[in-house]
Amino acid sequence: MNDVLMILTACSVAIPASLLGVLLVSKSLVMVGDAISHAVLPGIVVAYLLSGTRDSVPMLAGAAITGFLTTFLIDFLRKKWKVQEDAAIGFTFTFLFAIGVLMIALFAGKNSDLDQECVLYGDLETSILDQVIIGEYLYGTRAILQLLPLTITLLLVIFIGFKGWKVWAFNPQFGSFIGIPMQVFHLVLMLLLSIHAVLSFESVGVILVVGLLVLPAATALLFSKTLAKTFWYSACIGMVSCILGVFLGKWINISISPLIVCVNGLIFLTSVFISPNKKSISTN
Amino acid sequence: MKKAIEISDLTVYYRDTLALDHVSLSIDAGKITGIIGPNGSGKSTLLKGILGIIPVKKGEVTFFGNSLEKYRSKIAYVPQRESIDWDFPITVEEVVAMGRIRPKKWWSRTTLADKEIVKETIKKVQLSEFSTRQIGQLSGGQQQRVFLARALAQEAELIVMDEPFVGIDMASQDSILSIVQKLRDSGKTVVIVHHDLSVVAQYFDDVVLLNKKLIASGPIDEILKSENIEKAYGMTLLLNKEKGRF
Repeated sequence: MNDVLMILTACSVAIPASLLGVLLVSKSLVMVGDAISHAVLPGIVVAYLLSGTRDSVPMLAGAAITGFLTTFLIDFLRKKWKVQEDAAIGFTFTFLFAIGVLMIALFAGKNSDLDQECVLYGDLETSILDQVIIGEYLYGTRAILQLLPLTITLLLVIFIGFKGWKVWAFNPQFGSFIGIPMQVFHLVLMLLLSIHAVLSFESVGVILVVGLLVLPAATALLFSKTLAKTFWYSACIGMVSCILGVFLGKWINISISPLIVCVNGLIFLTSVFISPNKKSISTN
Repeated sequence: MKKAIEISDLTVYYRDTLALDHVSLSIDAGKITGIIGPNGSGKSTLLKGILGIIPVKKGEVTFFGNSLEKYRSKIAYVPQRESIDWDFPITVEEVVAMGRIRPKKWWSRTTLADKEIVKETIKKVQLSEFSTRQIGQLSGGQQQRVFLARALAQEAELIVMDEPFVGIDMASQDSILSIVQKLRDSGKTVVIVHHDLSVVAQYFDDVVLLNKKLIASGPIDEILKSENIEKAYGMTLLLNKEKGRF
């Protein structure tokens, strides 16, 4: 039972991550994804300090605000102060993340349920203990129940807006020219990324979540020639890596979330050697 | 002669560098007009400036007497090949289908009629056998034709192309040219940015010679005089010679 719960919890993080990742990787926005997943930390801490709980509503609000703040700060530095893009991203997220870590150390204290270890590395094994039981029935872990609505929203957003996403990722200049509001797509993606970062940090931590964002999508891109297929492949790779990770972790008795990212890394490396699109990563 | 584009006093800066200096000109409707000038002379800037793709400092542009906003839906823009990510997971028919997106209902499904237009357009640029290929798996000339097809699928009145003849084989050049000529013959206006002087006479009806300022514009046989060419290219040729890369 615990294995199933563990796999489902891991998948509930990995599936939305692998879908968001496709949009990030295909548009070379990996650094931005990395930035958002770190930069939401001060938002989480402030929300926790203000509300005193780890309830999802204030946390989500905190994340959404810091997520947007990050996006605007990067944009501002780049456009107004002419800082080069990678430097602007590097500055923004490390600065915000450092503020978050300091705030935890200063205010949250050792006895609270928000500590640096948990935020940085997450803990899948502990997060499955947080179960939602109503009456006699187990409905799932809190992580699953929180991430499921996000995943459904994300699927709807991708499915309904698919043509728009395709134009946004491939040729936004064309989209803007014919009059599709391309900036809205960027903001929606950043918002969904921020929410995902908050909901998944307890299970996998803010560092490893980047692996789940990037690796399945990067692997999927090696094999697919359309965006639709890339989404499918990426989600499947994300799920397979969770299943493999959980069983390997049980077998060698080791922490599971880094193992899932390692499995993803190995799948990616193997794919680079056997993929038909090998050329495409060497030219990037 | 009816004017397709009228530009008055267009000035564009890139940060602090002057890219276009008070350019005023008009482009005739129903013709193929080449915008010619050496590298860095502001040709692409002129296109992007009039189409609102980059901000302009000053100047006014009208399209058949309308503002860009009003006329936007009748313009098709073919970007420079190097600005496209050719590794992106997208097929030829998907790119061409973008030309059928209705901006106000961009989320709606592609209709059967649209699919038919896409198929016909791909046939017109002779890419039918490649329609399900990923765009990176095509030659340079074929890639250029994909984007021309997208412009055709838009069924625009004004087609604007940025350096479509760069780095492509002769067969593709001829094929693009013949499609462009057909467009003109059916009453459309085509504007092409081009840097190579040698083929100008075969390609265009009118030319605009540019080097940050407007040097000359009008019918090809009037404009291609040595003094104009020297004004546009002369200094640059000398400078390049000095730097040893003539």
